[in-house]
Amino acid sequence: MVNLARLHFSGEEMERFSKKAEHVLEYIEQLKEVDTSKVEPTSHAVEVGNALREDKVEKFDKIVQILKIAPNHQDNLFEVPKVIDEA
Amino acid sequence: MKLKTLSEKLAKKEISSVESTQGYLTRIRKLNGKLNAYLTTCEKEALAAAKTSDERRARGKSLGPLDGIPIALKDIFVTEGIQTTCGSKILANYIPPYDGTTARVLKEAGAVILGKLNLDEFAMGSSNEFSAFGPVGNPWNLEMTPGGSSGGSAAAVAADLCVAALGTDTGGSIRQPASFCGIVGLKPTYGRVTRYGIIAFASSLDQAGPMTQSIEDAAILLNAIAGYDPKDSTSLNTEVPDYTQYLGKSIRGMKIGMPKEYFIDGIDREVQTAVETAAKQFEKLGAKIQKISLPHTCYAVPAYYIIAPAEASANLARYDGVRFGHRSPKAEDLFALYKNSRSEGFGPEVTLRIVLGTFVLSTGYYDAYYRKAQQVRTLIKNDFLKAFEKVDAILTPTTPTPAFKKGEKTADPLKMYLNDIFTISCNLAGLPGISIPCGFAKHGLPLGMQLMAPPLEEGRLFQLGHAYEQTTDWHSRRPTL
Repeated sequence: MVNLARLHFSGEEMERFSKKAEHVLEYIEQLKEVDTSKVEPTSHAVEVGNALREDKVEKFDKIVQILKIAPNHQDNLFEVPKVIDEA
Repeated sequence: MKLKTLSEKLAKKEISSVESTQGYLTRIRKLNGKLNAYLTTCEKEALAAAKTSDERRARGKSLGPLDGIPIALKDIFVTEGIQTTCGSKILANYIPPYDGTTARVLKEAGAVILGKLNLDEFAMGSSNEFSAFGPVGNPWNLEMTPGGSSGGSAAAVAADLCVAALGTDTGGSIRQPASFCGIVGLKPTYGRVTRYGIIAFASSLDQAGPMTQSIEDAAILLNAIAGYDPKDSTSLNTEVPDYTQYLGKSIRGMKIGMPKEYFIDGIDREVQTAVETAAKQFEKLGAKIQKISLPHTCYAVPAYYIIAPAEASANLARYDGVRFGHRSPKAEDLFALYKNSRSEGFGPEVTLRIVLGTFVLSTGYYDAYYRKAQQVRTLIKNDFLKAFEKVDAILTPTTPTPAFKKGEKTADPLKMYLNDIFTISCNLAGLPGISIPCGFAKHGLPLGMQLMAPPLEEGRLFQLGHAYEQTTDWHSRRPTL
């Protein structure tokens, strides 16, 4: 799970962390008691219908500010460690 | 000073916005060391905005009740050109290239933004102890927490370091600190206020709201920030009433329900007594109190601690060190870049919730956990809908105890989570909820009560709250610092 979440723990941290996580997971197990066989799930408490808008292009003019706070960039591209092998 | 009071003084030219702003900035310089409520103060921008406000007023072109009023924002609201950290090391150097809608709307109303307020990292916490930039002190007793996650906001309002503040509330993060600090805190109906420009924690639960020294001030602020925003597709496209028209209306005949599941063993005696006394006060004012039941209340906290982390794990996936925020210097490949940037940047509570959230959404576990929690959420929501067929509003304590000591609950996550036991259902059901000061504990710590109403009925909360406030003086007391 830690890997899936793109995180990393040291050995000792992992132990402490696992204990905490287990503790919380035990607690949330109590939901099993509830009979939800005929219940629809709610993902949005206050229903909103299709919230659509016109597909109109709007000019965006803050590119300089975005690049200013980028950790590493070349022109308008964000630079990251190599992903594709040169084989 | 209350917003309404300052607004009147500005209108009568008894004080200028520059004078008021300077006063607050001086007070912040004097007291923020002790409280750590502010993470960033924008002295230059604030004084410039104040000056512009005064010039506007001199030309007879005042923008309304918020013009020239010094307020502050929880550091979760994105503000263009002003550092926005969300209480996290991963955004320690983040200077937003845009204003969120709420920040923009407040500036357009002429408000003066004094600075950005401390919070639990990514709004995950109930004590402000999980901030990467140090905890906040409760102005009533510095050894106590102010609550969280909008701890800095609550402390700043209580200590007169701003006229009013905006916070956000996902499981109680406006109401609980408001209760701990003796101020008013409102979480509006889900969708009433835009979420565009609020750094996202749990998208189906997050809401922004006012934290103020009086009910009237909260109504004035809500007038300004509520409304449809095309940039937030969950924002409600319904008219915003003038919430101040509910102030002063009689509450005779209004029915208030007190759910038995919220008055259980284990809540502090003084909290219980204060809320029961407040109920009698409501009766004196002509309201009718009745006992009701919200049977699925006990499942709200576990359901929340599946839903909120799940949504958080998705929302926090964007912090990867690529385009902004902290990037690890140790990154031999892309995977390491993600892993190290995130692990270096996030604090322990945030990583716990991200991993829990990842787990409950993962293949094989999604139905047993996430889907199950969403079904329980339906049952909780239906409890409220049924109750509101019989009553106009629901009265409960806001928190099970007054403010607790720093360090008391940080070791055990569950101990911390149970602080939100009375506030969480409101977020799950999308209802508006307000915390109102209703007394003081024997050690001088504030006590708060909560009122909840059906969706979009914030007016009832203001009507009831204002009527109560006019017959008590809890909200006028200020801590000595």
